[in-house]
Amino acid sequence: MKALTPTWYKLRQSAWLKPRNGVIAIPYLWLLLFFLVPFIIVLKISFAEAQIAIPPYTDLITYANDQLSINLNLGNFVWLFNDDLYFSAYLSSIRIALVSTLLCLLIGYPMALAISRAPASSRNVLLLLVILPSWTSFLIRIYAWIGILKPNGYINNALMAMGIIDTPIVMLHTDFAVYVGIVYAYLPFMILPLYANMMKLDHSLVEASSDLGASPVTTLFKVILPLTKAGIIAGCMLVFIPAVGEFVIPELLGGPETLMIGKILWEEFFNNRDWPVASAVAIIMLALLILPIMWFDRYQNKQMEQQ
Amino acid sequence: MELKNLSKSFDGYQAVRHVDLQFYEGEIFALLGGSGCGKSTLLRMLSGFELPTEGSILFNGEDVAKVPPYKRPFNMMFQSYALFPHMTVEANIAYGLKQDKMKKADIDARVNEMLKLVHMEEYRTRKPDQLSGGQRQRVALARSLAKKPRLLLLDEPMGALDKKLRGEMQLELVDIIKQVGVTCVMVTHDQEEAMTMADRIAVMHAGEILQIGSPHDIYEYPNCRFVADFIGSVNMFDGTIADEEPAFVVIDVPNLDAPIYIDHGISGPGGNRHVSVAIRPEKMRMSAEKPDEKYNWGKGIIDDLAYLGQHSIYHILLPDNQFVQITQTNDNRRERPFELEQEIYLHWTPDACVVLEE
Repeated sequence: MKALTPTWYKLRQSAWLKPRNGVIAIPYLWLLLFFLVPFIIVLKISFAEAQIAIPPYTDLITYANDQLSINLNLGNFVWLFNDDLYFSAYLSSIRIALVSTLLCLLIGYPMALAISRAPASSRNVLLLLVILPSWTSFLIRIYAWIGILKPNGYINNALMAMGIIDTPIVMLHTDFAVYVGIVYAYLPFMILPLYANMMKLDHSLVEASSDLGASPVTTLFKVILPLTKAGIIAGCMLVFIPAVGEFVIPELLGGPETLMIGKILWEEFFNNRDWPVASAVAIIMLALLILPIMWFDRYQNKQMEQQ
Repeated sequence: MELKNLSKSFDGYQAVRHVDLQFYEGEIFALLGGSGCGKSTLLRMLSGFELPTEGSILFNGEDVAKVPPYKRPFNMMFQSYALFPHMTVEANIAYGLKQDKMKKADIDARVNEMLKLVHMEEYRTRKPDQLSGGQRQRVALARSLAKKPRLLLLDEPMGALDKKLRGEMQLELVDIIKQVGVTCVMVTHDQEEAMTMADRIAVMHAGEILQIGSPHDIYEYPNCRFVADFIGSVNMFDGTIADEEPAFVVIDVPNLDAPIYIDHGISGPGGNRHVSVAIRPEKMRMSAEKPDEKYNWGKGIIDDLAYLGQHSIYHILLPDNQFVQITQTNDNRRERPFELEQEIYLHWTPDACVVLEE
């Protein structure tokens, strides 16, 4: 007699319902709900036309007089390419993000190296000091910089009290203040992946380099830097990607000439109430950011294959 | 090469205490001891990774104790080999040479020479993670020899290899080192490894050097209980000196039926009449009949017996619960000479004994 397999058993055996897949399904569901769906909505709006109504854009698909029409309006994208403002805002955002990332790397790398080389007992305390400021609201921390950088703020007052300067240096509402803010806010995101990577570095490799006659500087460039490449890339991604779209810091610390795409986005959405153009700006920004992310992903896969 | 009164403390704990040592040109010298005996710290002071708290490291009459590692003409082969994972075999070997600002052609020639020395020519473009343990060790050795160091330091050279490979690599390593003629200091916890590879051994314990000598000296003439116990197995008998003459000594041992007779004088324990006598397991014999001797025998029961093929190990129970280990070569195929629980007599020759102070 042929044994019948119960349906529920077959179901359980099917690949989709294995517990392991269930575990993976939760984050995928999360991404689907909170990333893909909003993205599709934004994409949809970017092809619409602005109108004074609620919602403030036209429908893509209309049905009237027995006609189903799909109206794809490319005007928003054409507008972006025709107006210099957007192009220079993208460029300026990328430039500010690149410089800030580089500054974060220059400051964060020695810090991460020092923390990873510190005695085990003080390592956690040092790491905590890096993370601790993040326990305060991001907004409050950026506001605090206004108090530090403004013409009668702490820095200018201190410099004037010491007699180094007579008139306050203008720091607030300049690109300089934006750099300070971004580097300050994103430094932990550089240090943490670097630190994690450096902890995996076998210290005997550093000793071997020294033993073979390499000075500490040579050891840094020939051994430590190449072996912490993955940490450098991860840290740079974590700083660069959010920095490109940063809005709060240029809004609070930047001046009128500080051009960043996050600010443009805000203005289009809330000041001009032109949702379709704002959506187009967001779509192009995403496209620009996906390139480095894809490159990082490929690099990581290559690393994995080697191991 | 000489170490004078070398000491190292970590937070008040003395890892190495007042070590005086001399290395001779071209010898392989082993620092042997258990974990935490200070042997690794001593090696790290030689390589320059640790600064001595006290004392000096004299090299050609110059104190190099405070010279940083990258300026010392010494090279080390690390226990984990510490090969640079992002470089090929060639680049690893060339690394040290590049630091000397050598010409490219000279570097290439030297790298080829080294690859040939360790028989790794076919693997020159591989990365370390594409090599087996034994191959990695060859590369590590080549890298540490490439700069023609005046002193080669080996940190647990066989530590990362499995047991089967060890035996082969030990002899090959000695071969290569002797071929190059470099003075070599190695650290190991494995006495077999030290005895196979080294010309001289220093036994270390609690930061101090207890005995220095050839493998033969250390095994046959240990100078204290620790060394006798640490190197190989040994049977210890505690007793009191009954008769001491320049030509012989008689020692009463409560656990033995006859006193121990040693056919030479001992110049050790002045006034101290309590001594230990050490006898190696392979230097004791067993018999079923009572020996017809006045000295050097005892009676016991075979408590345990391990047949290992080429030889057997017997555990003999003496009065007062003392166990004695005896090894006997199984040179007869058919007979099993002794059985468990059998009462036997153990005996030895007068020159088998070593008298040790408490």
